[in-house]
Amino acid sequence: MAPGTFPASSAALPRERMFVRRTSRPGEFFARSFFVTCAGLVVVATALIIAFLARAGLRGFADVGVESLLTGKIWKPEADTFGGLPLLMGTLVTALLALVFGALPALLSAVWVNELAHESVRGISRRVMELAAAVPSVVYGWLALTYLVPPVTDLAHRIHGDGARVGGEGLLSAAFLLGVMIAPTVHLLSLDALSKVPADLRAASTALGASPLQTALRVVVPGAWRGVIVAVFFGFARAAGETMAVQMVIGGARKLPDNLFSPTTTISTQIVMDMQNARPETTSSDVLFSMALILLVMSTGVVLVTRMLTRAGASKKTRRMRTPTGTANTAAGDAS
Amino acid sequence: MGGVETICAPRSIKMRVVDLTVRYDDKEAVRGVSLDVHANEILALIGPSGCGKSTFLRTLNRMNDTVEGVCITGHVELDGEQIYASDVDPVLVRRRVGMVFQKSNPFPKSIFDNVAYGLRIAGSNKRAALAETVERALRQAALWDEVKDRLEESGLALSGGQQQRLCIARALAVDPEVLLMDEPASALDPIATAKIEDLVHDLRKTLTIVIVTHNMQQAARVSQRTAFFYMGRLVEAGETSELFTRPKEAQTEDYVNGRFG
Ligand SMILES: Nc1ncnc2c1ncn2[C@@H]1O[C@H](COP(=O)(O)OP(=O)(O)OP(=O)(O)O)[C@@H](O)[C@H]1O
Ligand SMILES: [Mg+2]
Repeated sequence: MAPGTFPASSAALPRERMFVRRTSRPGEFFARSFFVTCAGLVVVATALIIAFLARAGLRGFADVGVESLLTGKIWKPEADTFGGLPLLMGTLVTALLALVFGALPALLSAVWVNELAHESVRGISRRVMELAAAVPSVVYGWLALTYLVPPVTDLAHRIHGDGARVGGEGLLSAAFLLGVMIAPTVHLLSLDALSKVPADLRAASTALGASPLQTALRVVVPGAWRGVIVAVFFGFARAAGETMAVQMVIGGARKLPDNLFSPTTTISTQIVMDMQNARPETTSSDVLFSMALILLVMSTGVVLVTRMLTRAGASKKTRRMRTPTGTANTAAGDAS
Repeated sequence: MGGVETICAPRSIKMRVVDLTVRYDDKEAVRGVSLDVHANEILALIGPSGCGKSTFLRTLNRMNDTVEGVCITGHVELDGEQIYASDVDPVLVRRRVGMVFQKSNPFPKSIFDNVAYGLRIAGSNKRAALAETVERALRQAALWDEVKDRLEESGLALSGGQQQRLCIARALAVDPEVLLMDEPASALDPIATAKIEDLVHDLRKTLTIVIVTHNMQQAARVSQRTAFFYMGRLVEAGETSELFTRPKEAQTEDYVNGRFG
């Protein structure tokens, strides 16, 4: 630091002189430059990707129109029709249903494992979940195609009749598969969040006569909610972006789903399908970038919302409301 | 031991511990301790670090049940009823025998919700009734005047001493018959400590208190009877004044005179 800038500290200057660097440290300089360069490369690469994506994507929006890409119901690149709604709906609905099928059970089982089950269960379940999280998505897709699609086909025809245009490859299978795929990660992240809740809060609750379930629901889960929200949103982002496995079971119909068993499509699977036929710099290529841009905005939005929620929770004190301030008006608190 | 030394009129026995042994895995933390807790007394547990005071205390409301690998033999009675009988629900025991911990541990909730917690889990939800009990408990814990205008602020926004009194209020709100306190003032400054001691003194009118302390002056100031533990055993228990001035055992004498521990 430049001594002249802090007149107040001038009295301490003679002492500070002891710490003036006398030797240059070349090793440190090189290490530092290396780290800075690497960090710089990562930032530049990310910025470039976003820039290219945005350039082509915005061109697509300009060519076809924002309205069509967001609300058009028919996606037919071969006829220059680019209605993005089926893709958007497919992505949103499968990802949201995946939260129901996957994130919710994953969270509940994390609460059970961490708070109620015997300690030995914890180790085993963590090991299993870590393994499950590491299975490649193609394997999940293949398993789903083999073991999930046939029973769903039966179910679809039992509900909608034999002749109906429904099948096992469609919304439900894709959502269920996504649920299974995100469950291990959501489970592990929730587990981390729950286990960070201090043990003395559990002890306090227990000593007040709370059952283990009451302690879990009233102290541990509320204490871990930020981590839990991050876990769930992470699951959502993962489900919205998953491509290979979904492509194998969603049916690939470029139309809005009529029901849970309708074949449909998602943004990422449709990009994979249309890639081969889209020559660079043409509209059909640019609109794929537009859809990718939408996906990017969606997941960025999820990240931002998560961050906002957790920030707000971190800084805000407990909610305020009218307080009973004396015996005379103790009943005034009923407003809550 | 126990009531035998009592000179004043015979008091009723609130809790009776007979031949209690507590093991963690294969390590004995409490060995064959028998001790009575009289109604409306303040019983101090003293002894060097690691002698089993906290372990003993936690058996009185079955908090040790939550520790993995713990093994408890002997029996503990509350008003003549076995609390370790197989058909006893430990949750119900803990509602009658409350506990305050060494490190204050308010929930990250409002002051009001902290104190109301025990009532809510016991199923009472009427706001007016809750407010009344919260006020009573906070008054008992000598905290009411300091927090009455900010009951909805976080309990974590209070000072260390206030947090500990909040924890005491929280324990008192469920109307326990016995209150266990494990070094409740060890993390506090002398003024906050004095407040806690006054409070403990006043609480004796309505309940029975067992308090662990490292501080012998504190034991002498607040308690009627004192029990001295050493290496998991109960060496001596008796009237506090007796134990500090005319201890029967050499070990007790060494300890209260500061010769070890
Ligand atoms: N959860 C536990 N698991 C294993 N051993 C334990 C556990 N809790 C206590 N112990 C052991 O039991 C013995 C008694 O511990 P305890 O905490 O009851 O002592 P204490 O008298 O309260 O000590 P201090 O004054 O330091 O609080 C100690 O040797 C301790 O290491
Ligand atoms: Mg202790």
